[in-house]
Amino acid sequence: MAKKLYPLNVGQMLQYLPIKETGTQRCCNISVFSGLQTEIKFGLLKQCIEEEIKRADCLRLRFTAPDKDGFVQQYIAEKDYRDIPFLDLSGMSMEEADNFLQQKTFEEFNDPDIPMVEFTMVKMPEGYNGMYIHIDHRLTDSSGLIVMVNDIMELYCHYRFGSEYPKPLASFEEVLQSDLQKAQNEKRRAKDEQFWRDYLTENGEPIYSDIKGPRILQESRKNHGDKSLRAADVETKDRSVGVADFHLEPEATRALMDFCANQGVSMTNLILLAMRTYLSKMNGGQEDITLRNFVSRRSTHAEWTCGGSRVLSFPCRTIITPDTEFLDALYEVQNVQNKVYLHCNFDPVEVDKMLKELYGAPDNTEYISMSLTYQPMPVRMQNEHLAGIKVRSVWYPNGAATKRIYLTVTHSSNDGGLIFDYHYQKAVLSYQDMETLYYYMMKIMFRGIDEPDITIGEMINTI
Amino acid sequence: MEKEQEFLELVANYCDRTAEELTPDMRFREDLDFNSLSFMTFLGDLEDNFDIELDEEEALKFTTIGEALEYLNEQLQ
Repeated sequence: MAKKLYPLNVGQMLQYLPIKETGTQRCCNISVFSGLQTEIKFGLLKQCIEEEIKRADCLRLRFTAPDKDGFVQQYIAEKDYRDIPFLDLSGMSMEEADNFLQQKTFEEFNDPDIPMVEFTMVKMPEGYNGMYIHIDHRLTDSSGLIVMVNDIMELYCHYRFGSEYPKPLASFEEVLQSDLQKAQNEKRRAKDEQFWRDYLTENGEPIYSDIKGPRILQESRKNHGDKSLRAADVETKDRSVGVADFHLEPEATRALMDFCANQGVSMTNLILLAMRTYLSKMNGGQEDITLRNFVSRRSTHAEWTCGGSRVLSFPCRTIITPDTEFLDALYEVQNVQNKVYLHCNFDPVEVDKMLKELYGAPDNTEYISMSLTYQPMPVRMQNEHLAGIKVRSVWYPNGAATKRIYLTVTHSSNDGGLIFDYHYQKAVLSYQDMETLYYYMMKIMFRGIDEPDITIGEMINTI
Repeated sequence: MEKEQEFLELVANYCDRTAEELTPDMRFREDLDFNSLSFMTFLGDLEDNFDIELDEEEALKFTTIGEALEYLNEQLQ
């Protein structure tokens, strides 16, 4: 039977464009180790991974060779037999084992018509056992990957301990068909396009802000001989990535979450407000700040469990005056984000094109220095049979930082506390910069939830 | 009646309930675990599936299924 070919959806295309530009698939890899500090029956785990490949059709996605314009199509292989190798790294130190898996992250899936995911069962140091997953971002994003890991462990618990068999996952192919059909809705497209045009024009051209202060924009103005330039140069030569992780204790996390619940705001908006307030502080009280927020676009049950890459990112621009109270500022961020969410099926590449057409910023310049993803769901493994067992989840960077600062906030699998994971361009920023950024973000959030009527101006001046 | 069923099925797609289990007094956030993203996406679906134009400010005031359904019925008349 002829395979049914589909174009990439907008989320997948966003992942594919850097491959097309750089000619290498490496920038599109996600790699994660997920394991438990307990004995694992690896024969059974292998059986569960094989079953997951049958259950989750996104894991059987393959891509055709590029056409004459460099674009690929996708299809789902009906069956996908392959070995699931076993790796014993228990004789190494944890750092050595992580370095070993980090190197595997750089391996590429460059050929057409091949499986785009590799599972390896791993025995790690300190008694951790589990699996390493190396996967092309077009098959799944971080939310999809977490659902998949949790599903594998539910299967494991079913066969090992007799717990309930997990509910079926939604079909990636069916959701893809629905997404492609929605993308043809001209009325929706026109509404979204109008929204984004209005959003980008109502306050004029955005202006860059940086945790290093106004000198970054000033240097770009000098480089381009344009005193009114509002976008700053992007580091394109050295994209090596640094990682800085910080863990917020469960009690402190609970305080932030309770505040959000009581005020009817989301954690994403609280974090965005902390980021923009710090940028404002470091840029002489600048009121006009633009961040980039990644939207999971997973709302329905089918969207949550179908895998695939759905995440898109959009600018979040707020203009907040110093006399605005913290809570009101939070509602301003929320108001902007709500509007963005209503129009978040629009292609972000089109948004960037509109910005370029409207203001003509030079190539390789940006208005945005910081991006955020908030991931509310932890790698769970909360099956009653695994309760109390320590979980280790490590996300290995693929080595290429396309954003100056990319903050991912997740919840710890072990205690539910927030993990702030900063990826930064090492060529222009340091670990100490991230420590300082984290320190001030915490000060802003906790002062704000203690004194919601404090003004942003007073916050900036006194923290 | 057909539209009401279609509406309830749309809501059910977003939560861990069937259309039959949904009642007018159920609140989107507190009872059905809608967050900002899912609520706004739901509003977008409402516009597309029923071919209506929502007043965003009005729509953001919905707290229960009953309120949203009443608004939908008004728009469809």
